[in-house]
Amino acid sequence: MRVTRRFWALVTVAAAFAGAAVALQTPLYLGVPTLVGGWLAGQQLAFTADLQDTTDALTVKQTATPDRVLEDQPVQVTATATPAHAPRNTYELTIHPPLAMDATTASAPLDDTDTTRVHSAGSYDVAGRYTACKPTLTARDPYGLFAETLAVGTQADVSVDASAPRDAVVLAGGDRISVGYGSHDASKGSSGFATGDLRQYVPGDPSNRIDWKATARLGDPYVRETDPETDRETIAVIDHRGVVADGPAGRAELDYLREAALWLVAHAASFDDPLALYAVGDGGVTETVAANTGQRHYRHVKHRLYDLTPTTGPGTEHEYTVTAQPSVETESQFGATLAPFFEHRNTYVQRIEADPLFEAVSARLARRRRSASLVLLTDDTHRAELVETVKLAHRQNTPVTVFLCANALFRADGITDLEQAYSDYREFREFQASLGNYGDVTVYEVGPSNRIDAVLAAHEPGRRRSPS
Amino acid sequence: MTSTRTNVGLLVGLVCLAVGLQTAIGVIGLGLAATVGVGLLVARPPYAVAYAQVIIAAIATTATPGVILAEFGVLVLLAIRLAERASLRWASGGVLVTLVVAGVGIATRYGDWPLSATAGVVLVAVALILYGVHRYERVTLGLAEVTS
Repeated sequence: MRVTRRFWALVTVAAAFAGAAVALQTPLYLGVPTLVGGWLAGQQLAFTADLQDTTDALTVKQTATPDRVLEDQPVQVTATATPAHAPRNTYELTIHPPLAMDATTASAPLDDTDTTRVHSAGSYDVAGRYTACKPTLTARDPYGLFAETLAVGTQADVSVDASAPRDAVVLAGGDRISVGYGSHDASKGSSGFATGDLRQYVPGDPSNRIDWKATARLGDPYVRETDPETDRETIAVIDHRGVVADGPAGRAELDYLREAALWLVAHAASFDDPLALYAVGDGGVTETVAANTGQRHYRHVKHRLYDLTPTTGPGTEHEYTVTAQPSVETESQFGATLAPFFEHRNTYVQRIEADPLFEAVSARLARRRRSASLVLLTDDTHRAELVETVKLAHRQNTPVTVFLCANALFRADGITDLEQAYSDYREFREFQASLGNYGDVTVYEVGPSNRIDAVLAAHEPGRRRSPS
Repeated sequence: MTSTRTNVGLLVGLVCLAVGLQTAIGVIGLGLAATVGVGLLVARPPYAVAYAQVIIAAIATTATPGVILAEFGVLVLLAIRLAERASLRWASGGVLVTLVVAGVGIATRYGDWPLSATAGVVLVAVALILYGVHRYERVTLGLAEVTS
């Protein structure tokens, strides 16, 4: 037990009178330290007995609610204590949140008869498993002479998951080429980045390296080689405008695009390829990392990716509705046949020169000095802009890989109408396929496997879900 | 301990002290006992009890029956004050400690020890008892560190 200043004050008085007894040669003054000693011993015994009785009969529970959260999500640690009888000493219950939790200790005096509750709320910045140590009970005797603190009750565990999706999949033409978090191995070419030459499939080649577009086009299985010796610069442009903020916290579009970008970094690191990163927000380019190699550079790129958050602000895509006048003459049979198609037809003319993604790609491609491949990570909200961007890259003989999120799967109100969701998703797939027609363009879909499976299963009940 | 019993106990202690002091020094003793009563009301218990002991030490030259009765009154006051916020069990423990330490002190006097040695023995005895209770508390609550 700890002793207080009052205790030492009494001890000082006792010692002083012991000295006075000796100085004045009066033995009865020794009665003061004797009586004070008896007093202190009696209080000490009573304090100890009450502390023991109270802790034996006290019921203390500590919980963390919820016990599984994402980074930066609120969590509350609560301790409850119910005494069995009114104690002699005064008690205070204190909870001690883990250091990693941005919360302070909280205390409350123990109620004599009713349950005492102590709360502390906060959040965790870093994923991991944390344990709030047992609450402590601080006892003080009624005369303020002694105090003691001891741990009571139970610990509380909290699991904090990274705000990163664990069900991300990459699909090419509806076929999965990468499943799950952490299972992607870029060094074995399973990233699917088609940057090498085509060759015919031979037995033994990994099936996830088959280029299905080329296979469909040529009629025989072909694989695309990833040439580790090619020092080709990769320009990654990731869209973090407000439109990719759709979706639940930690499972939004930007989170899945970020996962794809991280795979890209791992792929570049495995071949030590120069990698540049540009992040595009609503106002333009927000992050610029020039092309470089080396583990330090790739780590820097990863950190920039982890720090990305959706920007806010209106989109910059402008749409104009123009009524196109029929320009075909109607006197000839040819004109008469086509004329109905030009009547009362509104054409959307979209100004995309000021759109940030197009502008960013245009500026960066204009500045590059050697061959490069372009990787776009975005969603299908600004389709016209994306098409123009891909066309621009094609005009400059730049191979393009697009990682595309289907915005239909990330609606704020969730997927409530599966039929509508399937219709929208099917439209996305058609758009995805259409992008591949603009030259050397490979388009991959990135998204949550469970939502994709749910949408497809609703329309195709016989579809077997892949293990996640 | 109920307030009625406390008041009765305090009264008994004060009466013993007053009668003892009066026997030892006369009417003045009654006045001094009254000041002790006031002290019990305004000061913390150990200081009031210590004040009573100081009065006895100041007036007593030998262990007369009056002095012994006054000392008994002081002991009763100590026990009652201890029992106010603790059970009689622990109040008895405090009184027992007082008697043990006093007995040790008296024994040294009978052994013709110098007063300084007696004072030292009394202080060491009190310190040992308090430290012993402290260790008992650490062990029973599982707070004692185990050293191999």
